[in-house]
Amino acid sequence: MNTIAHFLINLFIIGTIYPIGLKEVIIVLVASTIIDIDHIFTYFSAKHPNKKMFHSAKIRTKFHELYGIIFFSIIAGLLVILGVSKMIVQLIFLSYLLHIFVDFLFVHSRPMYPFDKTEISFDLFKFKRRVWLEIAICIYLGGVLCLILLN
Amino acid sequence: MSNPVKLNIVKSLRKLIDTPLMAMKLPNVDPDLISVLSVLLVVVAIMHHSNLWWVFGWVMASLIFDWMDGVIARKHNRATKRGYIVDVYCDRLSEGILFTVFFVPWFYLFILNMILTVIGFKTKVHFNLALRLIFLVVLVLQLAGLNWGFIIP
Repeated sequence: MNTIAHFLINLFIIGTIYPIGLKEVIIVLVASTIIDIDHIFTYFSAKHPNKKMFHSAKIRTKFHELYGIIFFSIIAGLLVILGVSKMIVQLIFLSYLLHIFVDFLFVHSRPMYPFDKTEISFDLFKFKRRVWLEIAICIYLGGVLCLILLN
Repeated sequence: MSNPVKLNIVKSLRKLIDTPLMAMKLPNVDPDLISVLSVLLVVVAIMHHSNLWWVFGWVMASLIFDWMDGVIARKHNRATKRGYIVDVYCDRLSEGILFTVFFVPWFYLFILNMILTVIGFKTKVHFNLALRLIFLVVLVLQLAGLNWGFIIP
């Protein structure tokens, strides 16, 4: 899924749960998209980087899979104990989890990496159809967001 | 990890409930999609988090789908290692999404369950807490009036 679709889907879901202001939108935007930075690291550290890598599960580091969920959930739990605002932690972790779930649905992943290297892909849509679906999601949810902001 | 070892009590319970289900006519659908659907139902549940009756309904539906994926897989001989991974991963995702919203104390039990999942993969012994089921039981008690403050939307 593209970055904008991740942000809009997460904002749509999270907006029904928590009161959303500008600060919360920025938190959801950053938390929904920052994890995809690992694609860049993987791409540039590869011996023979090419475009096909972006369609494989190997472009995602372990922080995009079960290992990352464990790692960030422990950090989230500790932050709440240490007194950080529970709502902010919830916004960040929920954005991250929803990003992981959407990727699990639509792209190739290795959910149990690094504990197991089995690749999973549901192949719900062929690549071109998925691109059109992402465009449709961005236009629709983006339009709804604009309408809400204008009102 | 082709055949995770389950505790005997879990196996006995599964046999008790699965036997009548296996005798029924069940649709031959991809069990992985049923596992994914159980996560989607939890996402819907958290969107209705302020109404605990709706949460109960959606989480119950999620648990039913989570149970049915294994039954359908065994009924139609579609049980695979890939299916096991998808099932376990969807369980953890459902719990993570649900318990991020209902944070205390469930999120910490979710972390424990994640660690048990990893240990299960390493030792090939499947042992996890049925957190969503425990959550539902506590939720029912709360809705019945026994509010110990364990479920705060």
